[in-house]
Amino acid sequence: MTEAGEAGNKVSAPLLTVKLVQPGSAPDLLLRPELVERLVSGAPRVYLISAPAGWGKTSLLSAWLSGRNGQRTAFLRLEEGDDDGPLFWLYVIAALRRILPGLVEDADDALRNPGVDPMREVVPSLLNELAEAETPLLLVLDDYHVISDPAIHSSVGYLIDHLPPGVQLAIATRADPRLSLGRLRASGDLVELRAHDLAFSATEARELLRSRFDVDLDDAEVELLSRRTEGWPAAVHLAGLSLRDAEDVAEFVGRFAGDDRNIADFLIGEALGRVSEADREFLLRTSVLDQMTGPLCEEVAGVRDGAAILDRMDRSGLFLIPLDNQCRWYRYHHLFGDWLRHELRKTDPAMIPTLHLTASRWYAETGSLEPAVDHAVNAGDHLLTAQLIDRYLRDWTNVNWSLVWRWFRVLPDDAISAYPMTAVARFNVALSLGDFASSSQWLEAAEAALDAVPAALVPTLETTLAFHRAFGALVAGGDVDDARTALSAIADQERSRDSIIFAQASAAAGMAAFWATGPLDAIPLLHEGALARKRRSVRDGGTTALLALAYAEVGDWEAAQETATDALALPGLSEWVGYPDRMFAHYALGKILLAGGARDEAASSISTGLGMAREWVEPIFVAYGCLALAECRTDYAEKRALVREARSLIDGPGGRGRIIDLVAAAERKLALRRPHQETAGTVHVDPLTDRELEVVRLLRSDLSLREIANELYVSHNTIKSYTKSIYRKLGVTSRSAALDAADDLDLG
Amino acid sequence: MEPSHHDRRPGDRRFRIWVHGRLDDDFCRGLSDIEQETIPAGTLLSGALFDQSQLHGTLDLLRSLGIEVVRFEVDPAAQHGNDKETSR
Repeated sequence: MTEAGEAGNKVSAPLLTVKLVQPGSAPDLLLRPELVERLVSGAPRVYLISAPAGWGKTSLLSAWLSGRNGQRTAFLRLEEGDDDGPLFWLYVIAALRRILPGLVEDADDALRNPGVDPMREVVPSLLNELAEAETPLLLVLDDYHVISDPAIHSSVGYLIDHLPPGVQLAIATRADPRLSLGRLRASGDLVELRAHDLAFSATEARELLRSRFDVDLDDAEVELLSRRTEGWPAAVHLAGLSLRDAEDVAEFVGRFAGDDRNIADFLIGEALGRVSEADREFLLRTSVLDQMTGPLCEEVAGVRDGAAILDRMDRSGLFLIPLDNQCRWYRYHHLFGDWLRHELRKTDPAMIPTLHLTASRWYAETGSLEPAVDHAVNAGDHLLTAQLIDRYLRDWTNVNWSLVWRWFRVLPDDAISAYPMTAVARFNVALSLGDFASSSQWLEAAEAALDAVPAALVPTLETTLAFHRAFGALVAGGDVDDARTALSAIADQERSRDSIIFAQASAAAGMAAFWATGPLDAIPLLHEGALARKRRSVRDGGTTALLALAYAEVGDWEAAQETATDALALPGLSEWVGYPDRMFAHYALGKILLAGGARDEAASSISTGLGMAREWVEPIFVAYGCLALAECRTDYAEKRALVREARSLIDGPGGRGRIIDLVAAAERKLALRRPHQETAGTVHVDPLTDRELEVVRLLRSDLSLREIANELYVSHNTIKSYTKSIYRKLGVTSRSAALDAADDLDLG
Repeated sequence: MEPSHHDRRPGDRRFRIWVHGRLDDDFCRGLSDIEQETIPAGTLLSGALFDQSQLHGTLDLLRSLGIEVVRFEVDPAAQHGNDKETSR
């Protein structure tokens, strides 16, 4: 497991770079000046280019953007895999950083955690920084129709509503986006181009055929062609391909115009029909690739000199689009690529998984694990997918957990269990989800797979597993003292390395210490852990909030206030993950307020925390909150109800560590406060001592007096004198009567 | 009790999609359970409706291939007691 994390852009190149490069403008591209003029002359907040595949949206973007020399453009071409909130915004920010480096620096780490909500964590800061930067710029999102996640639409809508002056957004899409553009339309803040606008006129069609394909048609032929294609640019281009190679132009035009065949079907069929058998094979096989480069194509298509083939095809007009400025990477035009894939499915569907596997292997060998995994998923090879994810996870600091979680959702359990890092990561995610039931399943699987790990990695992996075992036990109801010992040991071991595990273990040890022995022990560990987590970009996970509570418990109000404020200012987790990081900060604030005499505000603060604790359902957190809230109440009955709730929570398997003592102490305090009551026999009750209350509690059980004496480590005689005193105070003479009286008086 | 949507066997209802232009005869090869029929000025694609996602997926495929959809239709749900309905 390498620790070679580096600050800066962590999304892997070169594929990211390829998405951010503006579409190149081919020298013979039809520039469409009137359309570009419409884009250039307006100054709207949003540009919308909405038309189906093949209407020239990307070409228009290319013509427009290449003319914007000097003016800042951030370009992002979206793909299907980007339909994921955090990933989408990671890419948007990466695109914007090409103009404003260092934009929202902390965003990367936040967005790489599973389940994070970009709307809360990132978009507002992004808008603030854009406003402060006062840099006019244009953000272009191409192929926006791949986005269907309503959360993304919502966040983009928010972006649109809050665009700083001078910042514009352009969206190119095949389908009208789910964004509220009506208002923008009405106020003239939207410039919109649709198929109708993008259609080629007869003149433009003629111009394209002449300049791109060296084809000269007479007026009648141009008219026929134009009518048949209805100005659909892709069709004109496809027709051009066929016309260029046709022996009898008039024959082709006649056949084309007179046919009732669907033009896309017809023209692509023609184009594929004119290509050599070898080239056809090449096209079909490489259609499974989102991106193509020479060596990759050689593997997948089984050819030599892939780069030369791509270059030749590009020059012959076969719908290849260069993705970078050195013409090393290409993709197929969407329409063409979709037809190729359709054709492949028709003619040789069995080949498809094999092609994906080949692509996966190539990417894995060249170190690009993310597309390697994607192709493995497409090949349906679950074990291979898990194996690649295992490799991907070795670079633990650079893991995009959002991505990993997405991959896990398509993998069956047995594939994930087969590899140690994958199983450990799955365990990690299970913990974050609070899915304790399944988390132990994953830990066992990871330990079982340990033999398969290379020897060099074993020590690090064993430490990771030890940490997860200890932490999992802590979180799932295990002994807090044991957890504290185990976690401190791991922290001590890792301290000099300042590793991620150190950051995790020290904070976790602090948490265990807080619940085992108390705040004084916990404070140095939590403090160290919080700092380490910040240094290593590990999520704080409530460490700072718990530190605030520890300070409050020892009465260091200033430190508590400061720390609680820090904790609440940290980016929190989304509801999706659910762990209430901030719960302890609310408890801390409550204690501070109570110390200052603001009883009602204190109660309100603690209730907020208590609400979170109840949802999380860890008994000790709820019990602690009940006790804290009880201190804010003045009414005896309310206090008693809360203390009883705490008691019932810790009496079950949920009770462990010092919370047990805290509850007992609260009960004692409560007993001392209880209002005196007159019974029927006018017995005036002296308060029972702490010890006597304990005995009463044990009297409720089946234990004999001798057994009770053993429980309390006193002699039988001592117990007998206790019971005598209890009976006297309660005005009774038997054990059962004593218990009845105790019930009446709400004792023990 | 009204039979739930999930009780219907796939295949009880059909969908039909009319597209502009005649498609190549083997267009539907490789698409599961869709048949095509050439009609004046176009093609009719029809198949057994499994669920909405399948329908939208098919429409999406046509969109990505640049095939113009002119009309589409789904059989209305069978009435309760209709003997086409699967019995519970």
